[in-house]
Amino acid sequence: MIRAALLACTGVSIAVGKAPRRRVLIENLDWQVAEGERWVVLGPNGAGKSTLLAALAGVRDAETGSILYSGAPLASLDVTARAGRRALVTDRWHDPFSASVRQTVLTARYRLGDEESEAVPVADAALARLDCTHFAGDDVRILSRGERQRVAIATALAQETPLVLLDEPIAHQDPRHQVLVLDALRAWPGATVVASLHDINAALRFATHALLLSGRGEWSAGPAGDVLTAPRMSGLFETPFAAWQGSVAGNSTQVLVQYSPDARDSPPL
Amino acid sequence: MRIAAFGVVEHPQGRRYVLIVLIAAGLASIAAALLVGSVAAPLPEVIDALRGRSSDAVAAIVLDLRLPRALSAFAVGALLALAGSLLQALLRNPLADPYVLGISGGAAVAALIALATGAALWVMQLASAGGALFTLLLLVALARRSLFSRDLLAGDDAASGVLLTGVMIAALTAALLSLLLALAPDGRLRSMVFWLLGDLAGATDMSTAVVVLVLLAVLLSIACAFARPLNLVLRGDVAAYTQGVDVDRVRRVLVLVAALATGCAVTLAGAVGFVGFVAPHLMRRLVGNDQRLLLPAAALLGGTLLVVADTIARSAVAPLQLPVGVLTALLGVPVFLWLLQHR
Repeated sequence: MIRAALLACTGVSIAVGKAPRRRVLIENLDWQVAEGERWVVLGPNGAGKSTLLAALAGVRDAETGSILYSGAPLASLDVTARAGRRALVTDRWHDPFSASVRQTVLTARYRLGDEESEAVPVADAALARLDCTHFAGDDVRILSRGERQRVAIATALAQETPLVLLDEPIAHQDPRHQVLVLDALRAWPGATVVASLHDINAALRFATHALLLSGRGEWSAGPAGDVLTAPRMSGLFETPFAAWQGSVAGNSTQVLVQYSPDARDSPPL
Repeated sequence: MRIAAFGVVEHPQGRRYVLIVLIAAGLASIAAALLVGSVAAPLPEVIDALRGRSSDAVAAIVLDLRLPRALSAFAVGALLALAGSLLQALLRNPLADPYVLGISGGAAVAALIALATGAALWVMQLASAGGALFTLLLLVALARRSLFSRDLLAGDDAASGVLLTGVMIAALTAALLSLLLALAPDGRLRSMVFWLLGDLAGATDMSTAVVVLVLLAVLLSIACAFARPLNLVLRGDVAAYTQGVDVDRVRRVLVLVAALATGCAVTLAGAVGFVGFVAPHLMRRLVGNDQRLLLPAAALLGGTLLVVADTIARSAVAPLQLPVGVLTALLGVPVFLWLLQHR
């Protein structure tokens, strides 16, 4: 018997707004994520990336279809069971009252109910992985957005779930930390990742698979090498991309370069 | 904010010491309340009275007036501080206080109607409790979509939905109170205003004091049982839910606890202001934001503050008694402003 996929969607539709201004963003999504895969979700603004992640996490209902975690319908899992299956990193954080960075990461251990002596090493390991150790004792409210985002990712990793869902996890990161965050996600033991990204080249380096969302209901999914191509990206974002292959510091590398159709007016971005 | 504020919370012993010091302060404040007043009660006589060995006038004053009043003040202050801490956490708004949801306003309207018609004290208290309960049910009915919502992405709206509904109820009751004061007979106006400012002069019944203390213990225990999930709800509904907290249930139970605590306090002592707002703030500065420590610590501090304020209110210009609610604000506001300047 084939093992059920870690995460599976069958006939999932996502819509926002109320009639007559209702927009169907994703229609009949049939999609599977296997253990160990790293998926990126790509699409233009408003394509439903965040909404899909919220539905996968079970914080919002999908309009139709069912979402299965290792064969078990999401609807049949209670709040505690869900917390053991997936962690979610949104791009909104509430820190109305002061708390230390370490305390914030420790909230992830709630589902396990473990003692602080057991939880603190896990939290500190996650913080170290995301280069947050030097401010682990600081008030979470003095952090920059980039630092706060890394704390949120460390919190999700400290939840120790088989699946981690992330909404634009490198949106606020500087170049060094973009690489660091994606490396941390890749290296965290046992984690399967679904992350929305806007940086196509970061996606190329990071992802094993990609899910493309048009925002008009259409979707397509597949291995990163098949999907993250210049023609597909040009079509998806309605702006031209070209593949560029070359050697950087002795390593052959491929990137997608956005360019203007009238190249004399503006050089490649 | 100082790092030291986090240190206490991360060590269980530190937590215990904070609570022991606060309990000692509470007991000391009640002892002081027994000694101080318009009639001098020396310490040996007070101890004799408490042991039941004395039956003179001092014993009567200490046992029948000061002890129940001090215990009532402690319970009222603690209930208000508990309600304030819970609402500040649930609404994620440090400006929230026990009166923000209009529960006390509803109690006040009913109590003032009873006062205006010259009803007996127990009728007034019953009316006040009824008013608080009615307003609570109204709030739950009107804010049901926020309280029982399934859409967690609207989590911030859920918190502000309850808040907005409560603020509207409070505004309505404020208008009704003004109307009642405008229409009330002159002879009754003074007692009505005193009640509105918060006054413990009527809280001299021992069995009532004991009942309220038991209620405080029950509500505080329920709140503390939810302190850990509340720590997560503090950081947003979506985050708390994905980490395994049944957010709706936590909010439902704790809004109810806060409303019952407020209603109970207001029924006994009128609308005593400021304690419910400032006690959580002071404690948050001292011990940080871990609700497991903050909830009991704020309650203990609130109780102690109100016992001290009430003792001053009834003895500063004795035999005249000041409304304690005025005193809590007169003393508390400068202290709070000083703290804000020196953080």
